[in-house]
Amino acid sequence: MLPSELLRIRIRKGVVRPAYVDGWKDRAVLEEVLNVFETAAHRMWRLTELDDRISSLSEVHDYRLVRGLARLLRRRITLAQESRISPRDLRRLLFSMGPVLSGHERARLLESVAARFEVTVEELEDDMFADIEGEKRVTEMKMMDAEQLAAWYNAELSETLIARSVRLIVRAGGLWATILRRVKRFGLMYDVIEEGGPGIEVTGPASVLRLTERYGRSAAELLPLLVEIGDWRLEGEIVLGARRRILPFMMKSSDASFRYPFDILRQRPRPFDSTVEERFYHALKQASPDLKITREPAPLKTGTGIMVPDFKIERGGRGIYVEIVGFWTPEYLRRKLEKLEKLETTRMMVLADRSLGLSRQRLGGSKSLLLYEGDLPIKAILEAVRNALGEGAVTKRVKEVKPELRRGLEELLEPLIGRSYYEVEGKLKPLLGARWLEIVESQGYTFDWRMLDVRRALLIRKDDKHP
Amino acid sequence: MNEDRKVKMTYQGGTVLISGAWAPYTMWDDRLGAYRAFAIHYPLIRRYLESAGYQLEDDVLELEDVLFEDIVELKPVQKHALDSWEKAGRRGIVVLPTGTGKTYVALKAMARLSKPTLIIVPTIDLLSQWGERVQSHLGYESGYLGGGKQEIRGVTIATYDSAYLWAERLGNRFILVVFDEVHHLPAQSYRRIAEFSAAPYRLGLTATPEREDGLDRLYPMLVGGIVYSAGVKELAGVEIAPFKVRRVYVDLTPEERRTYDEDERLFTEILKRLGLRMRSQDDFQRLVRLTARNREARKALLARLEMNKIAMNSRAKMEKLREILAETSTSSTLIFTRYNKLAYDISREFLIPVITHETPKKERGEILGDFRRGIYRAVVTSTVLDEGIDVPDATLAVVLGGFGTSRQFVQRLGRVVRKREGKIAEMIEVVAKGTLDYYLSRRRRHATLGASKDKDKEGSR
Repeated sequence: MLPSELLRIRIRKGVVRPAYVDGWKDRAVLEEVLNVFETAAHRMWRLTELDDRISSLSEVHDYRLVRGLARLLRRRITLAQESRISPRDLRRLLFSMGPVLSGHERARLLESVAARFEVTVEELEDDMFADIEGEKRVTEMKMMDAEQLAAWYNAELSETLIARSVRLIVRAGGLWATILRRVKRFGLMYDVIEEGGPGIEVTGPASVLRLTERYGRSAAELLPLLVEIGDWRLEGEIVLGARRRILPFMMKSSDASFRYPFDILRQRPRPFDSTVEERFYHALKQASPDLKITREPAPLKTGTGIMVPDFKIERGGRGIYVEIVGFWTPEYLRRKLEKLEKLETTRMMVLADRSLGLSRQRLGGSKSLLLYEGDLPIKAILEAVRNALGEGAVTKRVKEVKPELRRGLEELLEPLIGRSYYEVEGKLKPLLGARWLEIVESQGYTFDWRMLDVRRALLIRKDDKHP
Repeated sequence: MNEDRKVKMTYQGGTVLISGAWAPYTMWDDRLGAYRAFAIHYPLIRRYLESAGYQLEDDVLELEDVLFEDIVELKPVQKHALDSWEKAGRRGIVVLPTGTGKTYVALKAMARLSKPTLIIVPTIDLLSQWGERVQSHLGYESGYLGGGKQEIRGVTIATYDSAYLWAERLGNRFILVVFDEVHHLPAQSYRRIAEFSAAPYRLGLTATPEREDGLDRLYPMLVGGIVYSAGVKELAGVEIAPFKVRRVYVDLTPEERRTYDEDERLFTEILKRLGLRMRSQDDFQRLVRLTARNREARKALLARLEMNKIAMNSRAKMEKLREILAETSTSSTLIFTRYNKLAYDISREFLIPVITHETPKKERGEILGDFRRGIYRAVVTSTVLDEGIDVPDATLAVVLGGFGTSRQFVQRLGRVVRKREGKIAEMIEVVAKGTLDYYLSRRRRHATLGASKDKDKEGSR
C-alpha cells in the first residue's frame, strides 16, 4: 500500500478508477526510475543522492507516480554504512572539544584529530555522520523490469484506493472459502450480495453506525489474495476532497496487470484471530493432542448457499464441525440453527455463551447446541466431541461400502472431476447414501466453490486446491 | 421475573451491542438483530437503561484487577488541576505549560482510582518515559503497544498509532484513558480511539489545546471540555521561571537573497495567473490541493518550499549564532532549527552535539545526560525535542527556524522556563529579514503572548 497522498485516480463518468500504469505504454517513466535505482546500486550512491535524483525526476514526470514507484523500489535495495572510524565515537570526541567558535580553531582541531586516526580531514568529515540514514550507501538492488514494476505498482495503488473506501463489494471467480476465511481473520464482517452476481460486501462492526474508512485498511489486505486468484472485481465508494464527496469506484482484474514480487508478499502482516476461537483451539489441542483440528475447513452446503465453519475436529478418519457463536440474540441464533439444520452433514456442534442469550426456552431444544457460561467448558466439549466421533462414524461407513465398490471409488470419482455439485450428488448419493460427501472427501476429493452458489461448485482433487 | 425487562449489553469491535431494548445513540443492526452504538456512548446508554427500569446484564467492560501504590506528591497547581477534573466527573482536559508536571496529575488520578488505565502518547520515547513513571510512582509494570511491543496489561501505554490500530480490542479493557498531548486526538483517524472506547473516565493533557483546523471543538465529545487551564504568562515567576523573549534580525547573504527573490517572483506570478491569493492557512491548503492536477500550482508550491528553506537555513543565521554563543558563554543553551540540515550543519561547524529524529535513543540519552551534567554547554536540535522527550533544564533557547504555530512556540519556551531559584530564562529568535520567516515568527508570538506592538515580551511576576 502506498501512502494516501500518493494515490492517483481517474474519474470518468463519475466513476473513480486507479490511474494504472502499463508496462509498455509507460515504459519511459518506469525505466527511468528503475535506471536511477540501478545506477545507485552500481555506483554505490548515498541515499541522499538517490533521493535527489528521484526529486528531479518527479519534476519532469507525474510526481506522484515517480514517488510511488520510488517508494516501492526502496524496498528492494540494500543499504550499507561505510566509515573508517566509528561515527559515534568520533562525534563523542569532537563534541567534547566544542563549542568551537572560530574557523581557525576548528581547522586546527580537526587536523589534529585526523592525524591521530591517520585519515585526511575530508575523510574525517565524511565519517562524522556516516551512520545517519541519508549518508548510507546503496549496495544492491533486486532487479526487475518495467512490466514487473508496473504490475506491482498497479496492485499497491489499488490497495491504496481500497484503504480509503467507505464501502466495498468483492466479487471473485472462485475460492470463496479462502476469501471468507481471510475476511474473518482480519476482524471484518461480510454480507452476501445476490444482486449483480455472487459477491460479498465487506463491512465491520461500526459500519452500521457511520460510513467509515476504518475497515478499508484491513480490506486492502484482501487484494494480494485476489490477485493470486486472478479473476476478481471490486466496487464500492470512496470519500474524496475537502468537501468529502462520496463517489463510486470500480476496479477489476482485467483492467491492468497486477502482480506482487514474491518476497514482498511474504512480508505482509498476518491476520489476527478472534480470541475466543484462539482459546478454544489451544485449549482443545492441549487437552487432547491426538485430535486433528483444522481451522476453517472446506465449506459446507446450506440450502443453496455455503458456510465455512470455524473448526473441523477429526480422529481416525471421523470428523465433526464446530461453530462458535459470539454475540447472539435468540432470533439470530434461531436463524443460525435453522441454517445449520439444512446442512448436508449432521455433525455440527454450535457453542454459544449462555449469558449472551435471554432464555433457552425460546431457542427450542437443539441437540447440536452447547451453551456455556464464562470460560469454555473444555471437558464438556471433549466429551461431546468423543460422543459425536463415536457414533456412526464416517470410516465405518466407508468400510461398509462393498470392497469392490471401494476399489472402484477412484475410477468412479476421476471422471467426475470438474463436474458440478449437483451432478456429482446425483451420481453418488444413490450409491453411497446420505454421507456421500464425507466419503468423497475422505478419498481426497473436494468441491471448489467457484461461486458462492452451490450450483456452480465443481469437484476437484484436494491437492489441486488453492493453499 | 419479567423477561421483557431484561437487557443484555456487550462489547464488539469498538461498539456496544444491546439486545432487548432500544437506547439512545443506537442504530438497529440487522446482521445480528440488536441495537448498536459507538462504545463511547456506553456510560450514557447504561444510565438511560437503568433509569428506564430495565434489568441489566452488562458484559461490556472486561477489567483486570490492578493494585497501585501511591507515592505521588502534588504541587498546588497540579492539585487544583486534579480537583477540577474530578469535580467535572473525571472527564476533561487539563492545560498546563511544559515543565509543570502534567504527568503527575495523571499518575495521581490513577492512584486514586486504582483501576485499569490506558495511557496514549504521541511518540515511542514517551512510552518508556511514562512506563518508568508508572513503575516508580505506582509500583506497577505497564504493558506497551508500539515500538515493536504488543502487550495489554492493567496499565497499558500505547502510541496514538498503535492505539488506533488496536482500537477495537482496547475499547472495553479500561476504566480510565489518559490522552497525553491530547491535541493529537481530534485528527480524523485518531478520533476513533476515543469513539471505540467504553471507558467512562477520560483525562486529556496538553500545553497547547488549540488546533489551527478548529477541530478542538471535538474535545467535549471525545474527552470532555477543558476543566483547568494555566498558561505560561499566568505562571511566570510562580510555577515557572520569569522569562524574556527577544528577536534579532539577519540579512540573507546576497546569493541567498537573489535565489529567494527569484522564487518569490515565480510564486507570485503563478498565483496571479491561477487567480489565487495567500491570505490564510486555507488559501495555502487550496494551493496544495490544486497541485494534484495543476503543474503550475506544483511549481508554485515548490518555489514556496525553496523560499522557506533559504530563509530557515540561511548562512547568516549560522554567523549570528556564532555571535550569540560568544556573548552568552555562560548559559546552557538549546538551539532549535526547522530542518535537520541546518542542525547537522551547525553541529559540524561548531562541534555541538546534535539531536534529530535519526539520533539513536541511546546516543540521545548520553547527550542529554552530559548536557544536564554541564559537560556540554549547548545542544542543537530540529523539531524532535519540541514535545515529549524529557529535556534537562536550560536557560537559553535560540530559535533559528520553526513553524508559525503557537504550539511550537510554547513547547520550545517550555524547555527553558523550568523554575530554579534566581533563574531568568531567555529565548532569542533569529529571524531572516524580508522573508517568510519574519511573518511566521510574528504569527507564533502574537498567538501566544498577545499582539501588543512588536516590542520584546517579558513574562514576570
